Amino acid sequence: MTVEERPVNAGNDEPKDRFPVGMRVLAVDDDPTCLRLLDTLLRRCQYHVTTTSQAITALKMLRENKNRFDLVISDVHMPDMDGFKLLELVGLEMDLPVIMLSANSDTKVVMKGIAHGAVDYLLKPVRIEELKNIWQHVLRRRKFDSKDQNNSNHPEKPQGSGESGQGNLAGGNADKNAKQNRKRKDQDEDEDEDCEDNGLENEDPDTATQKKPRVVWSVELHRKFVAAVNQLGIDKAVPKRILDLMNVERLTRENVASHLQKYRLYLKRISCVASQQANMVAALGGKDPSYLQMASLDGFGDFHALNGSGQLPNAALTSLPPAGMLGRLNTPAGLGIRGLAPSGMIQLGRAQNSSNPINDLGKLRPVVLSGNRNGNLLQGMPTSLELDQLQQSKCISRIGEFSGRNEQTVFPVAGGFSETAVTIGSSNNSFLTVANNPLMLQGHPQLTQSRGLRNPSSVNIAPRNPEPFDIGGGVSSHVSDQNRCNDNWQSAVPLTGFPSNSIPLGTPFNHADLGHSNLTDTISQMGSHIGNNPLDICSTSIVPAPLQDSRSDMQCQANILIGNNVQHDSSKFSNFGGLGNNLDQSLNGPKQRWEDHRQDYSTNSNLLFSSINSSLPTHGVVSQLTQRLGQNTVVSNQNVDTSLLSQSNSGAYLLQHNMDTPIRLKEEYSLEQTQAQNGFISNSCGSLEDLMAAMIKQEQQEAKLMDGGDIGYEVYPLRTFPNGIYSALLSFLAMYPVLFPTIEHWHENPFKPSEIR
Amino acid sequence: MAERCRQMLKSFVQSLYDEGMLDLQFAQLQALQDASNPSFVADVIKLFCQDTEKIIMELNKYLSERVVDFQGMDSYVHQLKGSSSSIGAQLIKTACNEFRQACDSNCRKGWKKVSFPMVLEGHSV
Repeated sequence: MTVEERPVNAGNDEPKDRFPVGMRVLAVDDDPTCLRLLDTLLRRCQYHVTTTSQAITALKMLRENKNRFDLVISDVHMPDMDGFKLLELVGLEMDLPVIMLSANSDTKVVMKGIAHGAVDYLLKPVRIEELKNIWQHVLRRRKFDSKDQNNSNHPEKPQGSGESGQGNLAGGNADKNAKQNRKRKDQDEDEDEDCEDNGLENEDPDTATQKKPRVVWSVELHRKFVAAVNQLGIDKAVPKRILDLMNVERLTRENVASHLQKYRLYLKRISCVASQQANMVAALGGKDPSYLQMASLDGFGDFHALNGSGQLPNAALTSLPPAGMLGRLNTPAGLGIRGLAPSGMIQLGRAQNSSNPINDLGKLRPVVLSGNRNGNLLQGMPTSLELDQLQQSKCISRIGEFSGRNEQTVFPVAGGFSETAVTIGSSNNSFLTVANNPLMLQGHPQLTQSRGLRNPSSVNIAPRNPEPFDIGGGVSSHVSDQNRCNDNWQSAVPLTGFPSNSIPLGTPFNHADLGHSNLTDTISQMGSHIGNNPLDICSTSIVPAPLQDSRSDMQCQANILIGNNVQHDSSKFSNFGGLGNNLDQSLNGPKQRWEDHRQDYSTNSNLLFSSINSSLPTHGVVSQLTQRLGQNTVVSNQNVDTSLLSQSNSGAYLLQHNMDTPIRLKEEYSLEQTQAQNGFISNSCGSLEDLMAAMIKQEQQEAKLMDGGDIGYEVYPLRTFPNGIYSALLSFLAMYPVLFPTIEHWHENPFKPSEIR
Repeated sequence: MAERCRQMLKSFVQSLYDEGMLDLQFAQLQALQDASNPSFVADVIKLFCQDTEKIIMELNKYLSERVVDFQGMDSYVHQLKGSSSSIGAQLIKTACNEFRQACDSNCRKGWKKVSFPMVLEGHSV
């Protein structure tokens, strides 16, 4: 650290070389002795210190000027407010790195802190050596933000920088971030919130952490993009011209370039898969995008999914969520997605694993449309569920990671899906597993194991669309296997999407819910929801497969789904919840969602749930998931998903960016988180609207907690979601049982509508 | 004269170290005191004593009840532990730990009050 004198001024634009001197720290501790000591120590480190013994005062200070501080250090035990609560709020509202402080060295408490999104956890007595290094967290956070923004989506670079939305806004920090593909996992922060900021660009340019606005490839945006590309001709489509044609503000050539790259990959994937199964592809197309997008359930076919990588809008999202989740969770998400996407889709995802899954997914979209999407979604969801179950922290981190990593994870997932979708017709199972595996591999070896997916089950998935079904079936089987490891969320998720399939999926899912009692509950709940909203949850149907096997997958998937769901505007609902619906709809819609999902992904875990149920975009879910993930040791936030992880980050913030409804979802999502998914699930059954309503309610509840924040749901770091997400996931999982009566069903006749539901 | 006082102080503090009442954290505190912060240690100790007194009073109240609310006490003890460890009051910290363990096992244990007055005295220097 340089020891130069640095005037304290707002903004992170202080020259790098002077940082960390003069870093503005807010210290909160009810113990005057410690506070005084902390104050002195921090001043000794040449930081600029503000102290308060009241958490409420601290919040007030933070809220009145977001740029006033770079870092917050807070005690865990405080009389007026729980330290974790403060942590969440700060993470959500201001997205500042928060360090926890406590005399309690109990591992569980530390984990909880990480799960809630703390970037670090210090023990009392605090030593100056430790304080000398805290500036790293600030820098890291900044970099992430910048990177995301500048990152031009390298799907191939799933590493942490995943979240990069392609916004290359501000070149300043972006420069360093853009170049660094920091692996999310490497960050001990689970603040995947960065990913969550998927919101539309320039989400919050003035944040102390200097976040660069991220470009979110919403469905509409993606549609425009595709239109422009088609107009120019895929061979001739160059970023500059596409940009001109699209005529969108705040979109840079770099954004378009990276998006185009992803799209190309997606198309490649699609074409490969398509050759295998025209039908499947078609069926899957709808589905895949959905799951890819998680948020944008619109049918995975949409390229959005492809966009996944930084934003992985549709495909990516769905796949990402799983992927993201996978990263965190164990790639259940990935699996989930796979499961979701009708087997064909999954395969696509699989193939892609490399980060171009999205591309494929995009292709799948058209194909899968029907069943697959659900699958994807589900996958996402399970992941989220899984997260909850598995480890809140993990989930969050996953999610958070996911956002960041979306590219990574998503891709595989997406790829898997797309592939699966395509192949579903033919050999779903094989693909599914493959697809799933890749995804799973990403995050967790477990997943891969579970990937074993029961092919048969997946096949059974009630074929809403015969084709898609196959895919879904195949997928589900795979997924289920995979899910097994984690939570068959995935299967559950997809199932939901698939009305007909959902049931089978649901069941399997429930079964899959092996260890996670919670998940099962949620899934069962979800299952019921899903069953109810078969159409809406198109994705769910797809999910079934995964569900069975890995609960964890479910989580991921759930997350994914949620993410997908969330992303969808209420109108888009179809994608997520109504994968079935989406199938019919153009897949493009979901694409946009996808992006949202991505962000939400972290928080999406919750979202997925909602979506699954009512195909509501579960932005929140995802975000929650991310929070949960926080584990990456992140705080479970940093979990989160850091992002996803804010842990109960209200998906709202994600939503906002994307759409109105999404925002609501986020809110709801956050509410969801807090609330048992049950409420959530029950609502969603009917439709996304219900889900949203449920979510909103929850959101409101959450909102109450978070009042004051101008979060506007935009910035809900995933961190805050953990609770919500988990619950969402759980609920989702719980639904599964309902949705999928039994795993066996899968094998038999999963696709039978009656059974499914 | 001043020198003598300083010497006495030093030896006193040293004795506290020897007794195990203070640990290295206190040394850190001392190191933090400098020209820009001349009375840091004294201030901190003062704060600590005030805070600790309150906590001890609360704990006494708890202990004097027939049915002791260990849970409630636990939070206070935790607080005390945090404070004492921050300034290096080792003995108190240890006592806190033991007390907490005792609370966990739900058995009544004599609170080590003895250490407190000593420490407080020591810190008042």
